[in-house]
Amino acid sequence: METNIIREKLSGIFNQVFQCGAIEITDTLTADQVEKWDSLTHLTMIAEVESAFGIRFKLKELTGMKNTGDLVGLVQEKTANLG
Amino acid sequence: MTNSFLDSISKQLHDANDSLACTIEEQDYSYQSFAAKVAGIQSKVQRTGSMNIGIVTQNSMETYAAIIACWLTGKAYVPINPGYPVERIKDILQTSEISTLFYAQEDEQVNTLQTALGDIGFVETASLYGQECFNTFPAGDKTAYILFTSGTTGRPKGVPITFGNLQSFLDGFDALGYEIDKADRFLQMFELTFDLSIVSFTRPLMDGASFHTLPSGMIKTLALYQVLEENEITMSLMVPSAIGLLMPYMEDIHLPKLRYSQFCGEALKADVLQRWSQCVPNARIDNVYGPTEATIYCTALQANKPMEQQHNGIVGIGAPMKEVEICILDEQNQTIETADQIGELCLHGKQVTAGYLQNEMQNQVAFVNMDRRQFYRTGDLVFKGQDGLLYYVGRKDDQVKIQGYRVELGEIESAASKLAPNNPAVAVGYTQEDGQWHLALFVQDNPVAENEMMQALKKTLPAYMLPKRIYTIDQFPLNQNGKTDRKALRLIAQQNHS
Repeated sequence: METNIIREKLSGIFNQVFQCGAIEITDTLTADQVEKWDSLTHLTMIAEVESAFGIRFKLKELTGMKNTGDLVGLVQEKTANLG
Repeated sequence: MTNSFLDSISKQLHDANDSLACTIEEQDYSYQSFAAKVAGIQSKVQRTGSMNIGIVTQNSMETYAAIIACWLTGKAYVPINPGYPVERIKDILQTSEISTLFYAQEDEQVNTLQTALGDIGFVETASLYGQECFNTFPAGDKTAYILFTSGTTGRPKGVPITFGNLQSFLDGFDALGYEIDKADRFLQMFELTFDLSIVSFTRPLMDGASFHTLPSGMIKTLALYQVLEENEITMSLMVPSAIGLLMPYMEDIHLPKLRYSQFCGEALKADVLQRWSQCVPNARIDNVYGPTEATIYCTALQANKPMEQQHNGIVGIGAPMKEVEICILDEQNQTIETADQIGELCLHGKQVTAGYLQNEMQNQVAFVNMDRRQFYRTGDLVFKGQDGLLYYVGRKDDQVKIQGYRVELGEIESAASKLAPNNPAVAVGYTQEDGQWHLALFVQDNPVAENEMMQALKKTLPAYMLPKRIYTIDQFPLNQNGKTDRKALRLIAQQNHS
């Protein structure tokens, strides 16, 4: 899947979960930069991403995720494997 | 009375070698480096006039060393979260008569505090090292720490805990049968204003074991899992909500090194614990309970069979610890002797504080004398089951717990009424399907815009006490007794939760 499509979908999910308004999904975006991004909303967001893309993350992948760029990369990798 | 826990820590620091004392921000510190830091800070603590020392709760080795330095010098520490509103911090410093704040290193928050608190001395501990620390053998009735909990009058209440209280807790801890040795690795996941942090770093230091904190800059729940696994934690004390969030990923969690898995601070759901027990195949699992006023926790249940030890899906809280006596009072203040009858849990014994700091009014309300003994009224409703164990039912008054912190709704209402004095305000706590607690504030005909009020509340209340949403309401719904119907308000908040 093209990264711009992934980013667009993520932007909608971020807006819905973090109530942050329209937000640009840059590679360096992290929880520190978004007010309502905490443990609870992070795991809610991850569940939404899994459902929207029909994929499933492993816990190890979640702990290794340092920023939104890592999330985009993982989504791309997993959707490619879907075939 | 001597405090053998301080003797044990002092001995570990005296015999210090390169074995691991703690891992903080993913950096390892040996007993040698920890002892040198304690010694360096101790000489500064000794020269500080007041008996109570403020410590800024930065996640640094220096912060923990400063606490131990205070104790060995016979002084009390008061944790100061630099993220709290300045007015709240001023109130805490004033109530506990603190003249000096120790901090690990400068950052934006410390700089803000330095500007706002002109009459307070600041001591940076990053550059302090010393040769040898010493134990002044503080008496059991001297204060070891003061924690501030939410208060109904709008002002936080100071809970002083003595060295004797803490020693009694640690005696009770060991009597539960935990066998701790220097190979043990304790999880320390708590902010230092939360008393569950104290056992998480104190107990390992008594035996030359280590404690491990969560790295900042990571999503807390994920950091928790990472530390449990990568640091090969053998003893963990956690709040139940921490693992509740990990429920969808339980099949990925396998922690065979964990020997003891304790839960405290919130109601523990039996189904969550059942699932968790499969992730920790070699661990003894305990559910422990207790208010700050009775020193960290004071009842315990070995809960490896949660489905058989629950009431309404909530795991029981077990039996009182060694130095704790309990009684359950009905609404007429009569002791309940029969099983299965619900009443307020009251606590007495060497773990229980003598009373709040400079707050006689609150002491009158919170303590009750029976047979010439003083009992602390927890405000928690419990019953004793047919099995003789205690089961938690709910809060007697309107206090709720958010992220493990106790919140008195009256404190939020009091803050709101300062902003809109003529408009009644009611705060409610409500749960969502995931078991998480949230707060909502209702203000009648609120003249202040909701976002403005939220911004103003942020200046007086810590983050965990902020309502998720502020509602303006024409008229409060009333119940059959003509009182504000909090249930109806909770329903509105639940239905509009997003």
